[in-house]
Amino acid sequence: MKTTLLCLALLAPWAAPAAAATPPQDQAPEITVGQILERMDRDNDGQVSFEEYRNAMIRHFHAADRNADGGLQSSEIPPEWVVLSAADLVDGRITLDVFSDELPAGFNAYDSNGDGRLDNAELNALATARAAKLETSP
Amino acid sequence: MTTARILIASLTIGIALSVAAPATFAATVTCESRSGGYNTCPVDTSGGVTLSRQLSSEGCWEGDSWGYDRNRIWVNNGCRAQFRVGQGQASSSNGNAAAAALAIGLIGAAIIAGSKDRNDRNDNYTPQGGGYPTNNGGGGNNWGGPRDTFECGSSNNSFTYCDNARVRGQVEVYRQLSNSRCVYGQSWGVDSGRVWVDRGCRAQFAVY
Repeated sequence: MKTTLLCLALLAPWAAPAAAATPPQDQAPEITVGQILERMDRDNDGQVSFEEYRNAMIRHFHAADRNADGGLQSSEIPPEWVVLSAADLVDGRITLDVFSDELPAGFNAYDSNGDGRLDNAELNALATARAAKLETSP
Repeated sequence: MTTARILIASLTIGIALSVAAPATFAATVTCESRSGGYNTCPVDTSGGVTLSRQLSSEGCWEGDSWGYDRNRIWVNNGCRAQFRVGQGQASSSNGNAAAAALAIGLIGAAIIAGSKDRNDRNDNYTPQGGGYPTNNGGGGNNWGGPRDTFECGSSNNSFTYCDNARVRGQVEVYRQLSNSRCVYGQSWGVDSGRVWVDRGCRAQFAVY
C-alpha cells in the first residue's frame, strides 16, 4: 500500500489559503450513493457500470488536463484528488494511459460480487472507504 | 433497458466462448471519430472487441457512440479509443490497493467538485436545465461536468427537434429515460446545433 497524500502535499503552497478560510469538512466532504448515481448512472438502473464509471473518470481527467498534453503534472492535479498513489506518477506526472489502466482495478476493488456493476451496497462501501481514508489523513 | 444490457452481455460472453478454442490473434486498434463524425476502422472482429482504453473526453458508449460488426469497428460523436480485438483477454486483475485508493479519491472528487459548483453558482442555472451550472467563468469546473442539461423525448416514436435553443458544444446522453435505445445518428442527433430525437428515444442530454 503505497498510497500517499502526494497531491495534497504538492499543492500545499497554493491550496493553503483556501484551507485556512474553510473548515476541513468543506475541503473533503463525504459523498453519498445518491450523488454518485446522479453523476454517473446514465442508464438509470440504480447502479454504476464500468462503462459509466470509465466515462465519468476519463472526462474528469481531461477536464483537469488544462494544457491537453495527455498527462497531469502536479499543478494540474485538482486539490480534491486527495488520495493518489505515488506509484501512479511517472516523472511527477500521471498519464492518461496509466490513469486508464488503473480504472478497471479500482472499479473491481469495489465490485464485490464481480457482476460488473456497483450496486447500492458496493457504492456505499466505496463512500465509506473514502470517508475512512479522509479520517486517517492528516 | 436492464434486460437489454444483460442480453448484450450474454451475447458478448457467448461470442467470447465460441471462439475460445482456436487461439487466434489479439491486436489493438485505435479508432477515432474526428470532429464528432462517423468513422469506421476495418478489422476482423470475429474474436470479439473490447474497449481497452478510452482516449477522448467525449463519451464512448457501446451501441451509441461506438460499436462493431463483422469486419469493422465504428465510432461516432467524438469517441476515440483503443480497442482490443481477438483473444487477448485484458488482464483483469481483481483490483490492487493503489487503484482502489485512486478510485475513492477520484470518484469523490468528481462528485464533490460538482456539488460545490452547484451550490456556489446558482445564478448560472438554466431554466430547463437538470441542475448543472454553466461554466462560462473559466476555471471553476474542473471535474468535467456538463455545462448544461435538458430533457427531450420523441413522442409516438416520431422525429422531433428539441425545443431548446441551438446548442454549442458537444452533446451526449446524460441519462437515458426511455426503454427505446438512444443511438447517436439513428434515434438522436445534432443537426446544425439543433438536437433531435426519434424512435422513442427520451433522455436527459448534457452539453459539454
